[in-house]
Amino acid sequence: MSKKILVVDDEKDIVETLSFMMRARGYEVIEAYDGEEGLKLAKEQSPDLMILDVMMPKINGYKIARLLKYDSKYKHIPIIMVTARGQDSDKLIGEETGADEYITKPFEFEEVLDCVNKYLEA
Amino acid sequence: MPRKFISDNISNMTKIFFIGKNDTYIEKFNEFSFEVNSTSEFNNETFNLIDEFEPDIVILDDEIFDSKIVLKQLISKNSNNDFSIIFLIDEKNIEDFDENDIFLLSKPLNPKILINELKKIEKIKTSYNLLHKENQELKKNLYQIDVLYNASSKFAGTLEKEKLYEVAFEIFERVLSFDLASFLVNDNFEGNKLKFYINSLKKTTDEFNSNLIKNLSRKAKEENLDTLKPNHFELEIIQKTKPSYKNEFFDNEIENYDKLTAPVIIKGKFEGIFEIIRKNPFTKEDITCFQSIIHQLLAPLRSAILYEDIINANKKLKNLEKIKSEFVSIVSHELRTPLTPINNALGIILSEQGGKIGDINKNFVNIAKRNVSRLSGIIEDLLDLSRMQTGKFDFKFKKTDIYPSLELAYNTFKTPAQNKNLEFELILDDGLPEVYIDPHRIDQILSNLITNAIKFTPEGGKITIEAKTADENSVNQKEFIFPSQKQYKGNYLKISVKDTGIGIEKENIPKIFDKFSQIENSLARTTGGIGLGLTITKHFIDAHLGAIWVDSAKNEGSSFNFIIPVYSEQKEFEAELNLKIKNETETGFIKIEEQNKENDFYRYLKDTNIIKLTKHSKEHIYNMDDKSISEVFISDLDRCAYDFMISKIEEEINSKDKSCDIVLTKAYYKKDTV
Repeated sequence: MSKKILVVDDEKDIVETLSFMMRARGYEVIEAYDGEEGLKLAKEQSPDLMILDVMMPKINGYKIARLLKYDSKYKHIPIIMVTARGQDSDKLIGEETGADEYITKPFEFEEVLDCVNKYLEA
Repeated sequence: MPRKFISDNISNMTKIFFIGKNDTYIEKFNEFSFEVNSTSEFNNETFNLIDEFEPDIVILDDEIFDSKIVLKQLISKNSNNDFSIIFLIDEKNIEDFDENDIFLLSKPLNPKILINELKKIEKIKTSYNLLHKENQELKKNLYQIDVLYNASSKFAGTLEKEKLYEVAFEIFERVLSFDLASFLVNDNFEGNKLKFYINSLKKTTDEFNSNLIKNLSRKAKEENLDTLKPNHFELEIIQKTKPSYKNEFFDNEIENYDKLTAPVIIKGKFEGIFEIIRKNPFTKEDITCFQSIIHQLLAPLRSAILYEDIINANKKLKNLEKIKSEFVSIVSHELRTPLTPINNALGIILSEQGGKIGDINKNFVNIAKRNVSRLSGIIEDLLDLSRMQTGKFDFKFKKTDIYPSLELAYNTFKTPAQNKNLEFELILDDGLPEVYIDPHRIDQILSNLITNAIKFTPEGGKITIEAKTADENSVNQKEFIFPSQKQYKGNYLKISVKDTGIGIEKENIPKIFDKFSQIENSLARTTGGIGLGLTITKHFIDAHLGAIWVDSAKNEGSSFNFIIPVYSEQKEFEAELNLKIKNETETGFIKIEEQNKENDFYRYLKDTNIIKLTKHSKEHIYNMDDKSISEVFISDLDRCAYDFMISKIEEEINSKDKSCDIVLTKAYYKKDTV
């Protein structure tokens, strides 16, 4: 059974391209376009990995990561944070919230894929 | 003639002038060591003799011819009370005598009694002189106190260091009557420059100056204030000499003068050193005075230095802001360049002229193309921002009506609105008045506002554009109106873009026109864009001498309203002048031809005290290097311009984010061209 990846980003174009490439690598992909929907899907669908944008309407990525990582039911889900913000302070917040990886935009697709493989192929 | 001070030691000091023939008196005087001069008859020469001798006492014997007339002449000559008069009169005539103001002694007279009387007179005189002297000193002290009392208020009037030094010199001059006052100062703001201010009675030679400076530096060193090293600095000597002494030089060595010296230390930093020198030694009171003046100088000097710091920091900030704007401008241009071929290449792929690409690929190329144009939009916004900051926006105003702009906006955004399932309506009154606008900028304003409305309104909502006239009353009452300090006068055209979108919280309303306000807001970004649209919109509206405001509440939609003045000659004039000022203060100035300092306008500007008025020659204006100082030169102001400039300057003064360094060098106000 193929592994399930949840992609959460309010930029539809980013979600669409990421999903396409992940699917092409044989992953199952579910999509969400804002924080609220992302959190809901994470809880309902229990994905094997999440790719999470930081700046989003309704609930931001940091908060979603925190909510999931402090919940024993979901804390095993690896989270890859993706954001346009590159400052160190943001990176720290990302680590404190328990995100497993941190990738800044603009990213190369290979970079994301390496990250994903690290968690899903091992 | 100044009154001499006479000591108690009468026998040595007292000078007697005797008019009479009796030699025994003269012998007696000599016996008591009086200094005596005498004449046996009164004639034209006698007064000259008295003047030359400067007697303390004049004794007149009635033996001489017409003695009573001579006495009268003596009394009238002695109107200043320079000497005492003793009249020796025969006992038998004493009953008829009626002169006061003199000492009267009757003959026959024992010389011993005369001497005794003289001693009494001297005692009285001595007391009088002492009193007089003390009185003079009290007067002088009172004067000094008065000057010192006024000193602080004189100092308080200025924030310029040089002016403060001048005032200090002025006060020194009034209370201390120096021969020369000097101030050696380390001018931090002009690099390694020592300035030496001299205010003197006579001219000084170069050698004398250099001795003075050496002397001061040595004193500074003694005080452990080692910053004044004349050899390491460029030295500027600023000298003022009293005109009447123009050709006289100090010829003596500096050691021959009495000196008062005061180092000035502000916030632990050595500013400079004051010194006044005088041939006559300074008294205790003088020293107290000097100390008091220096003391009073310190507080305003501290403020002046702080003020200078602020001005300097402000200059630096302005410069940085300029560099930043230029940087943004260059980077944006550079970013724009590669976008063009990317866009073209994507276009070629999409056109499938190089071969079929299939629906899936087409979709992704479309995504690329969409994002390229989004990036272009952001870069355009950044370019607009830098244009706005450097005043490089080009406005082409003309008298026109507003309908074409509104219709264009409606037609442009009809489809995007429909795509988002929004109701889109344009409500126009008939016969809207003409306005003085740059139609291209009005198009941009409308485009920005409508784009926002579409962006922030959820599907199924409604957007309404409305245009009608508005009077000044309805405008001036608005709470959040931008620019807010202004009073709006006359009739306006009001255009509203109303939506049923997410609305704005009240506390955020004052901030929405700030740069990048959307980004700063929160992580919860709701929509794209970099938050410059409204900033630029406001800038455009300002240039039209209009205003913008928002009626909005959270979740209840927003109504963005802006007004632009209905056309009149006055408004046309104001818009053009405003544009000139806005653009040219950044880089240069509006130049002028005439000047008339006696007009109300000039006085008004001077009274405001915030605007610095300096007068430059025409040559100076054309050759000015320091473009960082904004200067406005105004010429041929007629009534309209006059009123407008005043309101404009009031605005500058009130607005917090402006530093008000408009310098009006010359102003001309033609009263008759109303």
